Amino acid sequence: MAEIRLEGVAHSYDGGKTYALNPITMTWKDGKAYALLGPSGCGKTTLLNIISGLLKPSEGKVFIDGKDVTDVVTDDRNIAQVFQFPVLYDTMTVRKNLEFPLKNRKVPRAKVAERVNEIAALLGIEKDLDRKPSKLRSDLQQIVSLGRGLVREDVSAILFDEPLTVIDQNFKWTLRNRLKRLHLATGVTVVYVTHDQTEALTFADEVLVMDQGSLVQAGTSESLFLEPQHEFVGYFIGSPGMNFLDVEASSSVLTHNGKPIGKAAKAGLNGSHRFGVRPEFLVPSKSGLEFKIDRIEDRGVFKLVHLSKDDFKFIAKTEESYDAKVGAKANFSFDAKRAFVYDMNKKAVSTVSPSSAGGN
Amino acid sequence: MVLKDISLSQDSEEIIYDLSATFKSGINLLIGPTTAGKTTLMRIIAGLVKPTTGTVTLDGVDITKIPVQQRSVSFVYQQFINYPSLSVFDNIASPLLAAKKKPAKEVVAARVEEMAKLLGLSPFLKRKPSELSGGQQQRVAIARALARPADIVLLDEPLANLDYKLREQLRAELQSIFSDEKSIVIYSTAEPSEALEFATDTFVMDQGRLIQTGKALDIYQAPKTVAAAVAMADPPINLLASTVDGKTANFGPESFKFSRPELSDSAKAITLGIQPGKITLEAASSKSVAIKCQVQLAEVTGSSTFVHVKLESGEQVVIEVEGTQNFALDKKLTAYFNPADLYGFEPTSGKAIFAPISGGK
Amino acid sequence: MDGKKKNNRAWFLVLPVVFVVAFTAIIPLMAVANYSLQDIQGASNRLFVGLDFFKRVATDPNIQDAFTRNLTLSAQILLIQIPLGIFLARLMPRSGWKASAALVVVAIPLIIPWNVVGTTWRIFTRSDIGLGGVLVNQFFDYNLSEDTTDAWGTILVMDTWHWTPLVTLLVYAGLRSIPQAYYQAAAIDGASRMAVFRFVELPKLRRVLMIAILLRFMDSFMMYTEPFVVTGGGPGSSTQTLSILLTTIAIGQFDLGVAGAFSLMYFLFIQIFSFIFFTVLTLDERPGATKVTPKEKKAAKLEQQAEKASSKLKKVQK
Repeated sequence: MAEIRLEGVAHSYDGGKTYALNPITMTWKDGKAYALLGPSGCGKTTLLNIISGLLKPSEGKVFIDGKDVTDVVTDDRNIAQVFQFPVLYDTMTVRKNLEFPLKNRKVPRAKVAERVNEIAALLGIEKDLDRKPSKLRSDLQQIVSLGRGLVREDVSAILFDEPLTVIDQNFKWTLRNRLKRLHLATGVTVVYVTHDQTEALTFADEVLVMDQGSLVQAGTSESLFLEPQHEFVGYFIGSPGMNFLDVEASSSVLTHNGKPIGKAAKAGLNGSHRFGVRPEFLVPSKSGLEFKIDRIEDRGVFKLVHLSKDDFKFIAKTEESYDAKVGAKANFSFDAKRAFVYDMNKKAVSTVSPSSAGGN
Repeated sequence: MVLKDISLSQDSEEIIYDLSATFKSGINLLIGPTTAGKTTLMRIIAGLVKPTTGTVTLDGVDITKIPVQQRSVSFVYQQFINYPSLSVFDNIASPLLAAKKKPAKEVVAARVEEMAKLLGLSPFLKRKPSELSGGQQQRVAIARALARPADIVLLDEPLANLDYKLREQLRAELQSIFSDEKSIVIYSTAEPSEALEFATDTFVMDQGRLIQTGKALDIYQAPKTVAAAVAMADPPINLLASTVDGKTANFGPESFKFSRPELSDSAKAITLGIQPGKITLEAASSKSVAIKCQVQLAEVTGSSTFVHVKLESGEQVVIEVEGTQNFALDKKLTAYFNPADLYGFEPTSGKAIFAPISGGK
Repeated sequence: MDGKKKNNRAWFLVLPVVFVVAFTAIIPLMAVANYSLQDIQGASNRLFVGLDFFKRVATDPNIQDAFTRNLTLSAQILLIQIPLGIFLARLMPRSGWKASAALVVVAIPLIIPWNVVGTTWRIFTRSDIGLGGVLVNQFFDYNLSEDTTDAWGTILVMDTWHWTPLVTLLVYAGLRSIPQAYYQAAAIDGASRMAVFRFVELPKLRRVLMIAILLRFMDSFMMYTEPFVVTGGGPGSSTQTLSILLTTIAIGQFDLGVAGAFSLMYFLFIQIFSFIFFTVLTLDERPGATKVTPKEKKAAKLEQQAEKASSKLKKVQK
């Protein structure tokens, strides 16, 4: 079980001209599940490969359990990795696949058998032990790949690189639950890379949102959802993402084209900013801003109401029972703790409360 | 376009059985699990594969025997396929230049620029596809498919290989692009949320058969079979075995008053279904049935939490609750649901017996 | 998708190839068959002898000797060249300019005309003026025109020099196509270099190796030019391959009937052997290749459907 610490780790594939990963310093605690979430090209796979030792960072140091492992090769780092597609030894049965890492480390035979059976029971694949892995379904193949990582008792961390990529849609959900249960059962530190927010948010204790090589915000799923400190987090997390609007601040009063939107909690705010509120927190109310309803999408469990006002559009996520006519006017307001104003660096500056003068 | 009695057998294995469907212009959604046969059906419609039996008619004309090169078809694949050695401009122009009568250079350029603008590719016209990101490459493939107006546009899970935020964006774009199209657009997906988002004529496939057609929401609320319910639900629908006798039913160990006009008085086994979002942790009304359960796992997405619980009789159920709530493992809970929200299916055939009563609270 | 020519027109493009193949292969083959079944002494002097010539070929001790000899030669060639080719392929750099340079160097023996290969080695191995011949003679008694072992060994070495690059290039291509993730996983599993070779590389190289073995077998069993130029089949008949013997019978002795039958049997042997070889090795890669009868298949399918139905119920129990 391990604590992973990164100090100023950065990486450039072309000798410093562009950085795939900007300097990052952080500590990952023992036994917790972390997710690296971000769009393609944000640097999450680069970071994962640096931790696993498959890539040496062009700058910075990596420490596992206090030991400097920056120059240590992969098989001495006591980590296991599960890749985007199941990586299995085709010529061996599932059992032999699971025995392989232990045999390579000269673990005594009796212990090997004991450990393999233990892990097989944990993963629920006892009956498949003597089959060839190529005959298994893709999600079970990934479980066997994972098993090879878990079977070693000296594994400090398990790294997942978008492991559900080739899994059939029908089994993605169940495999994800299983991975989470396995994490809870084994207590290993886990780092999970993905571009799917549901995977990241449901699996991890802490999610690190990355964009263009930098860490944008790290926090629990709750804090990322309720308090996005960066516009990107507001945009990337949540389906659909946050509603944004350019506003002018004058003594903390926010206006758009002269019309009041709200008041920032921080005093003395002036200049160009952006207002953001999630569709989930735009609620029908008697006061608030008046919108015109352009379209209502019924998604079964909830409804998405497309609103427009003047020159901008917002989307509100409502209960399934929300009933309104397209084209009608409706008032929506927001909770003061759930709306934010962002500066020109996309960083959150303050929360926003609705204008008391029920604007129009 | 009408498909009548289409079937396909390969190597003495039936892949598509007895399929008949009518597709109208605009977006038609094809949904089903990965092995349902969606891609095979699309290839039959495109003319890449000849059906063993059946006919394909377009506007009254039988096109079954016409080879693909002579059909007016465009195809967009999952793996963003473009000509790697041509620039984006040439890629989009390629179907226009491949026609028998090549249009004038200016006409081609105008059309390419129109498509590029529509899909946000104008700044990339001189680049090669390998220099673009995945989302941009897929846009090029779509532009290429639309450059020459075709009667049938087929999109085979076109967004599956893109990250989810990009998918959201492109879905919205695709809807607006295809809203004016007079062509018949067939879009296949394995994700129910896409079907509900497009909210258009939906065709559900399962194991080579067309099992239900209709508007996405209608299928979601009234699936004809278990397979249709499963195909349209995300998160997956909870299914439990139950015994009913016209007056009561059981949900796990709990018996409750339950009657529906479709059920007879004799006792029989059925499968009950309920959406995770319809189970709550507070009694919503006097009609709610209480279920004792134990927390196995809680998954938080921020906007909601999925709680996996185990009933006293051992079945596992998923509950979706709003917002972020923390649940300790093995904590005992009482969950509630309204019997009006239940689906009922025959246990062996999977046929629907009854569906939730809408507006029933 | 658009603009392909109609099916019919494409056939015309194939016609030239049909003519060429007809002239150089099919018609001559028919002529050979003709000669093998009839004793033709002149244009008007022909006698149908049925399978006489075939029987003669099958019972001729010279031909039988050459057959065994050739088989031994092929076996030895395979045993040397396949492992050597794999070994060399693993040594080659995987990327960068060094990889291109290595590819060029490795490919050089392959692009030399076979006649030239033979002549080069003939001079190279002469014990009086050949660089190799003289060098080896410092340590051993080496004379390939007198000693049968020396001649055999020389053929082997020459063929290895000439053809191992083919195996190397095929295996190299195969190795390049193995995804990095497999090597990474093996590193994480703590696998030794040997284990990586055995469990990651070899299994993935299966297809490529099959092609390499098949090609090398066919070529070595038909070997003509190189041994002919270097040793002429001698000393005696110690390096006389089947094709050299065949040429002697056909052109040297002008025994066309025997030669015709010999040719056909030779041709058929290679065809059948290759077919069996390939079929056996790809047996488990065919779709539905297990020995399951249609009935069993149906039963399995029904079982699968029943399992699917009950798994839908049990879905939440995972």
